[in-house]
Amino acid sequence: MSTIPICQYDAEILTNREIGPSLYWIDLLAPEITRHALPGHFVHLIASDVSEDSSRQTWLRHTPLLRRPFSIAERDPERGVFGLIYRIVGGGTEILATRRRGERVDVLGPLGRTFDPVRAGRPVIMVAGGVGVAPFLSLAQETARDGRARPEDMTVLFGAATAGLLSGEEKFREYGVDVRLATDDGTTGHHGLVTDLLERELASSPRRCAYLYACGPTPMMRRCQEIAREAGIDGQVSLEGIMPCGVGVCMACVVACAAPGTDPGTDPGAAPGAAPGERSSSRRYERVCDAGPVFDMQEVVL
Amino acid sequence: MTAQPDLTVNIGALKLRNPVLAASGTFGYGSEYGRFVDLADFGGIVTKTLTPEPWPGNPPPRAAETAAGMLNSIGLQNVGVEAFIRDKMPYLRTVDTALIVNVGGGPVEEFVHVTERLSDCEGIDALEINMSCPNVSGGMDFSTDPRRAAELVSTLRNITGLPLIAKLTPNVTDIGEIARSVEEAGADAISAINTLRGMAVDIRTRRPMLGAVTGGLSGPAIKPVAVAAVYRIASQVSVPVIGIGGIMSGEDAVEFLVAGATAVQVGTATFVEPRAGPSVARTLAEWCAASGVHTVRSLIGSIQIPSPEDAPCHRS
Ligand SMILES: Cc1cc2nc3c(=O)[nH]c(=O)nc-3n(C[C@H](O)[C@H](O)[C@H](O)COP(=O)(O)OP(=O)(O)OC[C@H]3O[C@@H](n4cnc5c(N)ncnc54)[C@H](O)[C@@H]3O)c2cc1C
Ligand SMILES: Cc1cc2nc3c(=O)[nH]c(=O)nc-3n(C[C@H](O)[C@H](O)[C@H](O)COP(=O)(O)O)c2cc1C
Ligand code: FES
Repeated sequence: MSTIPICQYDAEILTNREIGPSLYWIDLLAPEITRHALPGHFVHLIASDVSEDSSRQTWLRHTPLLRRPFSIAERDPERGVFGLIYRIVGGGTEILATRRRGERVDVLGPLGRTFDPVRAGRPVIMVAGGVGVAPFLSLAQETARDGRARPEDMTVLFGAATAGLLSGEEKFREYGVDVRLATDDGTTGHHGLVTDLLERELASSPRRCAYLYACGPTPMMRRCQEIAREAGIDGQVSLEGIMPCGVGVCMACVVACAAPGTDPGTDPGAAPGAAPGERSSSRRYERVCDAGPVFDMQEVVL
Repeated sequence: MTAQPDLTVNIGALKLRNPVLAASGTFGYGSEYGRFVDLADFGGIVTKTLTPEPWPGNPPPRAAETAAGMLNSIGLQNVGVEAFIRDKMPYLRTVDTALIVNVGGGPVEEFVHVTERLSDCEGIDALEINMSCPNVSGGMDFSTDPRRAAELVSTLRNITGLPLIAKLTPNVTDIGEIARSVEEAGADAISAINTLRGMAVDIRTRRPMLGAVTGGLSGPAIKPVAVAAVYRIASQVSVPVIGIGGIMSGEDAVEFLVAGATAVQVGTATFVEPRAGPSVARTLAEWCAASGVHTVRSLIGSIQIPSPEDAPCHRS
């Protein structure tokens, strides 16, 4: 459990604009959350308008019912504003996209475990798939801001289905970070997978990567794990999960973890009522919202 | 406005400062929400179901949102009773609210083991027996068979002096029958309902939305089912009933009390609004004040059934 205080904020929407096909950027005014947020943190928000002056019944105001998690993509501590990038994939994000400047969004955060910072003398590659770019925008921004490492020590490999979904790319350039692009349809950059770029990069200039970060669709992250394992590189992945509570109480958002010294009692391979000896697999389940969303690269079974 | 309404209620020997409890499985072990919610604003909290050993739970995905509710198939993932006593109780003892610990397991011996360990532990006000978790496949569901339900309760009754609350599943033909049998076996109170069995399918992949295929439905969607269950149980037993299911507001709590509940638990709503419990208690008080109700106890079972002909037949 993190020791950073969790804040609940009725955050004012400063902007909420379309930046690509079904892709949005939202800026929220929430000084406490902004102050404490670190790269990798996420917020849990209520997409719909739940302001109490509405005469609708409590549950009617809450459609959809549950909060939705989003990674913090940018932070402006002076103004107390943080930004999120989101894609419309269902009801919650669709409603969020209709919310207007000046309205309020109920936000809980910052939540979760954060990235290991980029350090001087340890060049890193960040592999981003689609909106998985969000936490890397934050990591690049904070690294550039605090000067703990040089922007040249960071390379971003950014892939998406099509060029219009590579929004955010220009921010990396602003921070002085090197970006390579890949699209499934070849509209820009490498025509193919972002993990092809990773393999190419590791083969051509292995010294440019002593540590690897990945966030994106599961097959992409799985491939990153394989590549990192073969290359003997450490790193971290940032995962998603279905998150009813976001604060570690409901046990819904779990991912299977491989653990060398696994406690047999937490063995997911065990059937209820099985004798201790029958617990054979060496896995355990960890909560993505609490132990993650950032995990060590090889810790999780994707 | 008149004086503050009296919110205190009694669950057997247990006196609560207000009738709003946090429901098992939706409030962890207290400390998680305790970081930013004042637990003293609750009448009490019920902790996650404990088994003798740490329990791994079901494969993910373990939750899916549905209309006005959610499905879960957690499968009782918990730290186990020893870690609970060692790691969670020191914090829970410092919390100024009633502490009810939920007890689970597969076979009876597991319930016995957990109950024995907790009975020796200082700081616990009551035990809630989860006879009804629908997520443990192969596990036995004690609250679908009145005889087995009674056996479990009387076994635990014999080994603990703590108040026992039997938590029932709605997935039965007549919840009133089960309620009668656990009351006879010595339960001090009955809580209802646990989640309703449900399923959702991703039609694109044709796969179930839950790793365990089926799960338990909770949230506002189940409130009418829960109110009916409470009404039925209250008509069959004289021990206090604790109503659970879809409560999000003080008005929802009033509905349960009028139908026969003495207290309520707030579950899924806490995920949406971490202060849902305290806010239910506060709006319940406001509602009472505005409605000229001086004590919430006067609401309990105050249902007005229009005429005998219209009343449902609930006698067998
Ligand atoms: C820690 C974390 C950080 C995230 N950061 C971002 C981000 O920066 N930008 C962004 O666009 N999205 C992000 N997501 C995913 C985002 O939470 C989901 O896209 C969103 O909840 C979907 O809500 P919906 O109501 O629009 O879709 P729903 O109707 O709920 O679902 C539509 C589809 O999305 C899937 N889905 C629903 N909830 C989640 C979830 N929590 N995680 C993964 N898939 C889900 C469903 O299975 C379904 O296939 C993040 C998720 C997590 C867990
Ligand atoms: C994620 C989740 C986990 C739950 N875990 C437990 C549990 O461990 N033991 C238990 O007795 N009930 C458990 N429940 C059931 C709740 O305590 C409650 O009975 C049910 O959710 C209905 O109330 P609600 O609609 O307010 O959520 C769980 C419910 C949810 C949503
Ligand atoms: S979302 Fe509830 S434990 Fe992670």
